[in-house]
Amino acid sequence: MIDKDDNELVYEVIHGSTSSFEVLIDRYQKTIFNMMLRMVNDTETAKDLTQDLFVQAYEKLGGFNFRFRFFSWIYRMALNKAIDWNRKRKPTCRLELADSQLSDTPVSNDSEIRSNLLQVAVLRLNPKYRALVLLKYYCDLSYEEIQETTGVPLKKVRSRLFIAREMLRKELIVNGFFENE
Amino acid sequence: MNNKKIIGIICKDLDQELSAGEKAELDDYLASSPEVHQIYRQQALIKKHLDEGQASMIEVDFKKNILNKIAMEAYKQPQKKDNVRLVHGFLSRPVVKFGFTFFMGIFMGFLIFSFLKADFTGTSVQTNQMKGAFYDNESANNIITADVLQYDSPVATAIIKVRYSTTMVEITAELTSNEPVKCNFLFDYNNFAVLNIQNSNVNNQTTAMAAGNFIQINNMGENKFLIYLSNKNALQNNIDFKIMLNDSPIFQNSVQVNKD
Repeated sequence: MIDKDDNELVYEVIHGSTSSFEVLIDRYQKTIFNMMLRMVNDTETAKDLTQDLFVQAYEKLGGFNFRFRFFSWIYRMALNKAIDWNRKRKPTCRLELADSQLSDTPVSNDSEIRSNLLQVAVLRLNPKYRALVLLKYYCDLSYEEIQETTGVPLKKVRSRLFIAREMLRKELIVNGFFENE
Repeated sequence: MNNKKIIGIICKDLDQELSAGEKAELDDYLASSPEVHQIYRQQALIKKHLDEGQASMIEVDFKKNILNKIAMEAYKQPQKKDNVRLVHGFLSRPVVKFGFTFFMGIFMGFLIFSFLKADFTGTSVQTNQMKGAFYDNESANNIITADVLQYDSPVATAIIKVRYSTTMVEITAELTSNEPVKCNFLFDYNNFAVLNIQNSNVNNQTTAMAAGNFIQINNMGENKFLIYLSNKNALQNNIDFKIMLNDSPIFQNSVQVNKD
């Protein structure tokens, strides 16, 4: 069961196997939760959205198109869900929550400080760029897989990621990320 | 120095996707510009920490909650759907759908047009307000023979039969002449009007003409005409007949219709 391809598992879920859906949850819950967390910047919301997403995915699996891969389908759903949530959220909340994740975790060394500064910088990116950064570095997708997931052309995926990295660099210079280097 | 281009090359290099040409270009930039060198080092550090992003991910286990939520929603089984559907229903074919839409559009157009053009004023005309008259075989009901005139001479022969009903007068004229003769039917236009002159059996040397108060037949040979007049007032009136040879009358008579 564990070695099975995602789409095989989806096929089994459609034909009544709940255990196959459990495998799919095991495979994607961590990545999706962490992506959600970096999209909505609130742990409880990220938890709720992740769980809702899987319930929604289970209900919609009947309409799954086997021409696509499962990860692109569920990541796209996750991104849309997070973007929708951000859109509905009052804009005033955004600034209050901005650094909350950073302050939650006690830091001990330079590497952890940098890691936290980077997370904050990622959170401050425009959602259009943030989603691509998360797919590339947290979901570990290739450019082609990002293209499949987001529907953004390959050339644009590359250029947007380069722009995002440059935006991060500029933000991190201000945050003192490169001090003591 | 094109900053955007350099960033692109640096990112490509860090992603290990740089071509040989671009690599040489990047080396030139790095050797010549400390600024580029600094950008490169900073981008490399960002890349390193981004790559470590996966390692810093928080572990979670929502499996129980998710399955409970699914169970709470009556454990709805996802609907089965065929992966590939090769045979489509006739009605679901695009050509049928678009064709139907197209014809419905035309039909709706006609419907709207006819509604726009329709007369909804509600004015209805009473029968007695209608102009004109309608003649059909009912008009010849209870037809009565008024008279039959006969003329026989070496120049011409004529049999003229006149019948009438309350709405119309029928004249059957059988004319035979070896020379051209004119046969005139004279009447008052207040009482009669010409409806029709029917050539029952007429040769090509004969012509007929009609005006408001007379009909003239220029006869040659043997011919038969059927003439219908409308009987305007159904009062006692005369129709005069005259046969002329070289504009001189050789026969003259009249028939009274609406005798009763």
